Amino acid sequence: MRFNRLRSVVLVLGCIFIFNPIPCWADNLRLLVVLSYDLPAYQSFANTLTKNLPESVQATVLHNPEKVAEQPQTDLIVSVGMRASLSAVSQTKVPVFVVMIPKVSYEQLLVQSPKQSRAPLISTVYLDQPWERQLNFIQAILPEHRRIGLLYSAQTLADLTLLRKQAAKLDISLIDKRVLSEDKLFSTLYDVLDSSDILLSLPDTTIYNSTSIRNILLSCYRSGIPFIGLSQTYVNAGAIGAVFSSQQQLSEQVVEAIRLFARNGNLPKPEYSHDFTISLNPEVARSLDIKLSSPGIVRSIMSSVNRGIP
Amino acid sequence: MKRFGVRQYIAFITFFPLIAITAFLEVFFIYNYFAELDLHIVDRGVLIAHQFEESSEYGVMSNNLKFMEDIAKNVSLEPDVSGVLILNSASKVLAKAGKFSSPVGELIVELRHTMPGKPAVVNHYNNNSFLVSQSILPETVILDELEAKSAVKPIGIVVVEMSMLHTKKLKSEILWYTIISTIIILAIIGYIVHLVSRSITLPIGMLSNVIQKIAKGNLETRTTFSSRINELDVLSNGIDHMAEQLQNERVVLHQRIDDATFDMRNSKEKAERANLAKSKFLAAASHDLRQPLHALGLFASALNERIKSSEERLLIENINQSISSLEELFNVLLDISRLDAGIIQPKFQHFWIKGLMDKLLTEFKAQAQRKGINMQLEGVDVVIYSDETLFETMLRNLINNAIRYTQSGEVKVAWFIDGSNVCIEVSDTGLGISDEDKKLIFQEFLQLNNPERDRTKGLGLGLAIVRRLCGLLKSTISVQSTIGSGSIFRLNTPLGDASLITDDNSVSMLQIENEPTMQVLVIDDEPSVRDAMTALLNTWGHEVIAVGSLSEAMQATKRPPDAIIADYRLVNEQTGIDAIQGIHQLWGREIPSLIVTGDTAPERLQEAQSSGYAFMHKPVNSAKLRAFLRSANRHKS
Repeated sequence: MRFNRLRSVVLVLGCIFIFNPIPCWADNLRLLVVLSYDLPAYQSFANTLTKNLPESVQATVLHNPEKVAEQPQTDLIVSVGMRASLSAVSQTKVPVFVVMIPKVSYEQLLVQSPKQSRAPLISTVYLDQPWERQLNFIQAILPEHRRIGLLYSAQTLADLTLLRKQAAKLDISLIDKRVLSEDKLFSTLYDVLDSSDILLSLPDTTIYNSTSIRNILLSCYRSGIPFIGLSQTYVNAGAIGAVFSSQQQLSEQVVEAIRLFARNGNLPKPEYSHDFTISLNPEVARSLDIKLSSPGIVRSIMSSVNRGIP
Repeated sequence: MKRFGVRQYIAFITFFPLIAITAFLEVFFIYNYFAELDLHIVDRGVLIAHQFEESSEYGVMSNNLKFMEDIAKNVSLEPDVSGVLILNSASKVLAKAGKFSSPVGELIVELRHTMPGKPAVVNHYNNNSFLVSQSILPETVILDELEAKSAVKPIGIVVVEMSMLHTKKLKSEILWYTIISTIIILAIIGYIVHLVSRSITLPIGMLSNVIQKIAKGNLETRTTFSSRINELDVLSNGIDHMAEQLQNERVVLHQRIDDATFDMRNSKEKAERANLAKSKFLAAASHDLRQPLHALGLFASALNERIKSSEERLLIENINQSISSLEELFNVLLDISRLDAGIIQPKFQHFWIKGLMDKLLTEFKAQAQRKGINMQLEGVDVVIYSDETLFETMLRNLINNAIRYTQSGEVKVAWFIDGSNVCIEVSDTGLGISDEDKKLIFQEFLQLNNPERDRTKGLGLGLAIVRRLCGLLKSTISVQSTIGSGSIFRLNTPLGDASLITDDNSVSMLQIENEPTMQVLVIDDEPSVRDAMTALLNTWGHEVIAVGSLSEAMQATKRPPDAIIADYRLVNEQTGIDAIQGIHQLWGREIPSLIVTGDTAPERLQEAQSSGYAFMHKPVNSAKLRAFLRSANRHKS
C-alpha cells in the first residue's frame, strides 16, 4: 500500500510536471527594470544592464517604482535597489530579480514582504562581498595588520557574528564599536582607531556617507590607520583599497540569470557576485608609509588563500 | 577789464587743464582705490572665513577643541583679523581667539537674527570693523550611495571680525601721499612752466624795452639776444630790421629837414634883409625929407609970429595946414617904424575914458560935419587900463577911418563893459567891407576904394597901426561889416580900476605965459635947420648959439647954456648924444638937453631914446619945443 501511495504521488507529480505549462521566453522576454531612485549609480547600472542584454529581451526602464503594478505584460522584473525591490515584490506577481542591495538587505526584504504576497519567484546577486573575501583581501594587502576596527550602528545590516567567526578563524582580532548617535560618531571612531591598525567600512549610510567620509578618512590618516573602503569611490576619496563588484561585473551576472530565466523560467539562487575588482590607492599607502602589492598580485594571493595554499 | 601778462596766460592755460585733469584723475583713482580697498578687505574677510570654515570643519566634526583653538589662533594672527570664533550648531562657543569689539554673547544673538549661510554673510555692525560669518558645512565626497541623500546640515558657524583700522590708516596714508606727491609734481611742473614762460617772456620783455627805446627815438637800439623760440628770433630780427630802416629814414628825413630849414633860413634872411632895407629906406627917406620939412615948419612958425596982415596970415595958415598934413603923413610913417622897431614901451595907467572920448568928439566933429555926417558918443564913463596916448591913437585912427569911408549917415562911438574888458565899438554907415577885404584891411598901405591913391585919404596905414598897438596894449580888434550897410570895429581893452588913477596929466603942456629969456645952444649940421631954429627961438625971445658940431659949440659957448637942442646925427660920425655929453663935461654940469632926429631907423631911435635925454622927431612941433624950453627954464630956476 505504501508502494501504491508512493506510486500515486509520483504519478501526480509526473502529471503535474508533464501538464504544467512551463513558460519559455527563448525568443521574446519582456523585462522591466525598475529603479528605486534616479540616482546615478542606479541609472548607470540600468544602462550597463540594458547594453549587455541579448536582443531577444525587450527591456523597459521604469524610474518610478510606485508604478510598477501599472506596467502590463511583464515577464521579469529587475528591481534596482531596496525601494524598487519592495514595490516589485509587494505589488506584482511577476518574478523579480533583485540587484544592488547587500545580502542583509535582501534578507530583510524577504522578511518585510510576506510570502503570500511575494512574487512567486525571487532571487538576487548580492551587492556586498562575502566576509571571507574581505578578510582575504585585507590579509593580502596588509598581512601585518591583524586588528580590524569596525564601526556599526543600529542601522547596520551585516552579519557581524559571521564576521567575528571568520576573523577568529584567520586569527584576526575584531575591534567593533557601536555608534550610538551621530554626535558620538567621532568619539567612537577615535576609540576604535586607538586600538585598531586597520578600519574596515560597512555599508551603513548613517556612519559612512558623503558628508562624514572625508572627516573619517582624515581621522584615520591622522591616526595612521589605513581604511578599507566599499567601492572605487572610497578608494578615490582616500581609502587604501577596496574589493568590490563593479556594475559591469554585477550586470554580467544578472544577464546570466535572465538568460537562465528565459531559457527555463527559473532564476538562480541568491549568491555573491562571482567576479570582483581589487582597487588600491598607492598614494595613500605611500602617505601612510605602507608598501602595497599590485592588484594582480593581491588577487593571486587571495586566490591562493582560497585554494588553501599558504 | 583786468589785463594779464604773457606769463600769467601761459601759467593759466598750462595749469588750469593740468590741475583739472590731475584733480579728476586723482579723485577717480582714489575713489576707485578706496572702493577696491573696501571690497578687498571684505573679500579677504570672506576668504578668511571660508578658509577658516574649511579648516575648522574637521575640528567641529570631530569635536577636537585643541585643533579648533589652534586654527582659531592662527586665523586671528592674519592681518586685519581682530577676532575669530567657532560655534557649533547649538551656538555653543567651541573656540575663540583675538578680541571682538562687542561681547561674544551679543554677537551670538546678532548671528541668530541673520542666519549665516554659505557663502559668508557680512555684517557691518560698526564703523571700524565688520563681521563675516559662515556656516560650517561638511565637505561632501560623492559615494555610490544607494539611498536618496538628505540635505547637508551645518555643523557649526565660524565668525571672523575684520578690523577696518588698518584699511582706514592705509587710506589716510594714500590720500596724504597722493596730495603730497601731487603738490611736488605740480611744483616741478610749475617750475618748468616758469622756466618755459620765462624763456618766452624774457625775450618779449627785452623786445618791449627795445621797442620803447625805439619809440623814444633811440633808433640805434638793437636786440642783443638769441631766443630758442624761432618766432621770437624772427620777431627780434624784424625789430632790428625795422629800427635800421627807421634810422635810415630818419637820416634821410633829417637831411631833408636840414635842407628845408636852410632854404627857410635863407628865405627868412632874405625877407629880413628886405625888411631892413625897407626900414633903412624909410628911415633915410624920412630923415632926408624931415630936414627941410622941419626947417619949413620952423620958418612958417617964425613967419606966423612976425606977420600981422590978415591976408598973409591966411596964406601962412594954408602953409601950416600943408605942413601939418605932411607932418601927419610923416608921423604915421614914423609910428609904423617905431612900432616895428619895438621901441615904443606902453605906459599902462588907469584913466577915465569919457574925457578922452569927448576930446576926440570935439576933434572930429567938425570934420564929420563937413561931410554931413552925424557923429555921436554913447556910453557911461568907465576906467580902462591902457597907455592913454597910444589908446587915443588907436581910437583916432578908427574914428578917422570911419569918417573917411562914410559919405552920409553917422559915425558912432559906443563903449560898454564886457566882462573884464571894455568894448569900444566904432560904427559907421559907410560902404562896408567885403569878407575878402576883411582879411586885408589890417595890412600896410591898403586903402579900399582909393585906387587913385588920393593922399587926402591917408596912406592906408591906420589899421596897420591899430593892429600893432593892439598887440602892445593887450587889446583885440575885430570887424563886423556888410557891403552897403557900414562897419563896426570892435576894440576890446582891459577894464581899469578907478582907485588906481594917478593925476599926473593935470599939468597942461601948453602954458605960455611970460617965458624968461634963456641961452639955448643949437647943434645941427644942417645950416637951414640951424637958421630956422634960430629964427623961431629968437621969435620966442631966447638967445641962440647955433653951431654945426661939438667942437664949434665948445668954442662958441662962453658960459653954460640954459638948454641944448642937438640933432642926433652930426658930422664925423658924431651924434647929438656925444655933443651934449661933451658940453656937460665942458661945463661940469647937467644941462637940460633935447635930441631931435629925422631918423626912423629903429636902432637909431632906440639909442637916442635910451640916452635919457628929451627926444623929439623932426619935424618938431613948435608947441612941444616950447614946452621943453619951459621945462628947461624951470630947471634953471
